[in-house]
Amino acid sequence: MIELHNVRKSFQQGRVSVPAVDGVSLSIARGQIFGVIGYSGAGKSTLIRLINGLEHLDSGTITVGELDVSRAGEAELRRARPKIGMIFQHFNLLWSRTVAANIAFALEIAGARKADIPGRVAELIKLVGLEGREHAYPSQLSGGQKQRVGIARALANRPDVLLCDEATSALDPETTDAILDLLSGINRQFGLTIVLITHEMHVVRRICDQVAVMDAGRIVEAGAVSEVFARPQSEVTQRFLRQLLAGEGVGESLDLNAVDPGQGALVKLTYMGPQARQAALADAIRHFDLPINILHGRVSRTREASVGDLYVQIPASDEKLEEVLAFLRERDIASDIIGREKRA
Amino acid sequence: MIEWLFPNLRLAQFWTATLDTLYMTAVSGAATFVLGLVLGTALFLTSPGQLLANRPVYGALSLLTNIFRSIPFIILIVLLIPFTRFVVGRMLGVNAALPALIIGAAPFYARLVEIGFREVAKGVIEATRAMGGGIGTIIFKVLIPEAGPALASGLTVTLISLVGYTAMAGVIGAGGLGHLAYLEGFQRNNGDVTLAATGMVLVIVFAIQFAGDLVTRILDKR
Repeated sequence: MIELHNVRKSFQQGRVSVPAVDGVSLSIARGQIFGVIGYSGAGKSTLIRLINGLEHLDSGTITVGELDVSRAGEAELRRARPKIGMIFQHFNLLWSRTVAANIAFALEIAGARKADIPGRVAELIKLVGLEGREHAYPSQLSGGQKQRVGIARALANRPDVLLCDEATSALDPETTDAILDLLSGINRQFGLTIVLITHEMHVVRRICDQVAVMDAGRIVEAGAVSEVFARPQSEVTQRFLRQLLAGEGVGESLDLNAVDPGQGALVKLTYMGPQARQAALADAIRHFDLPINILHGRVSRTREASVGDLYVQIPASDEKLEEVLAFLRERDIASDIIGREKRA
Repeated sequence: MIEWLFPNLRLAQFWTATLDTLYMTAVSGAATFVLGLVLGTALFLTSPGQLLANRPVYGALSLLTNIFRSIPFIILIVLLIPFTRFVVGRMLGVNAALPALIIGAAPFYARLVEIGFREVAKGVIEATRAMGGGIGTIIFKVLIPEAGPALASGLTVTLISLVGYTAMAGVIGAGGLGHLAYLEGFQRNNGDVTLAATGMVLVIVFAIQFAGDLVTRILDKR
């Protein structure tokens, strides 16, 4: 759906030319949720703006569907953009228009017939769950609601691609999850290709299929999310992984680098649900005769069950590991493989 | 009561002068709004970092704006005499004041428009481009509505300046309340006429300020 080949873009800062995107090649398949993660200044904002031609590249090629963005003129890009939706960190709504009028704006630009606009706007408002707020102004909405308007506006012209520019970075964790769920629902419902850039590991883990890690204008690592984060190769990727653990209050006491990968896969176990019992792990150790090592975590008992997270290292082959995790899953303990042993 | 307070005031003349002032303010105000909006939009769009950034054009427009904004109004009227003769045909009466009023006020309003547009979030313009919006959409559906309150409060300030300008223009023959206060009041030593004219100018200014604030508040949805 989206192909980038050896894309370069630099900005003039005084007399020096600073590369923002430095030879990036990517291939994003139709219907995928593709994440680009990087720290600020890594060039991801420029990268996403190159895809819809808001920034013009210096060299390389970019195609979106049939359109050669790198060769298209401004008029051709304008005609193509309604089919490439975009949402923003700061929502970028028109505060002088109501929710409904903001969504209608995208339709007006695309030249929709006046009579068709109200019906489509009502559909979109329902899709993003803003019924009853049609006539509110953006200043009367919460951050999450504003982003819902942004999403409705971006989807108004039934795009094939949705570009998300740090779409959840200005939201609190709970709202972030609600917006991410909405995005992944839209992805499933319409088969929409989503490209999102973020500096939050959590976002990638939660909804992305594929991820590219960006640093200093280059893609340092790319692939399926589970693969990339199970076997981080680059320093940046490892830093992001530590960020994820730190976000859960683990960073201090669990140093990922200090964990000897030879000792087995690093797994995060989440106790949730009525069957989760602390004893389940002991059962697994006995059942599989494996010396499972508890690294860190906190599990507290409620009346019915145990809740919390446990970081453990399981010295087992891939197949055996699957069996162990299945055993735990039956007992309402979810698992997440964070790191695997590196095979020489 | 009025005759006792203002013994020398002829009401018909006072009323005509008031209408003349209102006429000059309204016509020059409308023209200033349109011209200032065009010039302000051009200033904004050609300024560095904007959509049509163009250093030479911006420099030229900016210089022109600053020159006309800096010339004291009373001198501007004199300088514009040949131009006014050519356009209006004569140098007396309310219409003769219009060219100077418009040329004096439009550059001032243009700067206020430019400042108002700068307050519009850059991200909104970017979002409009991302939806496929062109320059026309950006001007008419984003910049002008989003800067609405700033445009309205700027126009209020400009209209109040214009009321002052019409008084100055009146002294040199344009008619209106300034003319009345100076010729009928000051030169004939009728203090009461000057006072009545001043009072009416104040009423007009307060009314403009009140209406302007009201419109600004209605437009402001932030």
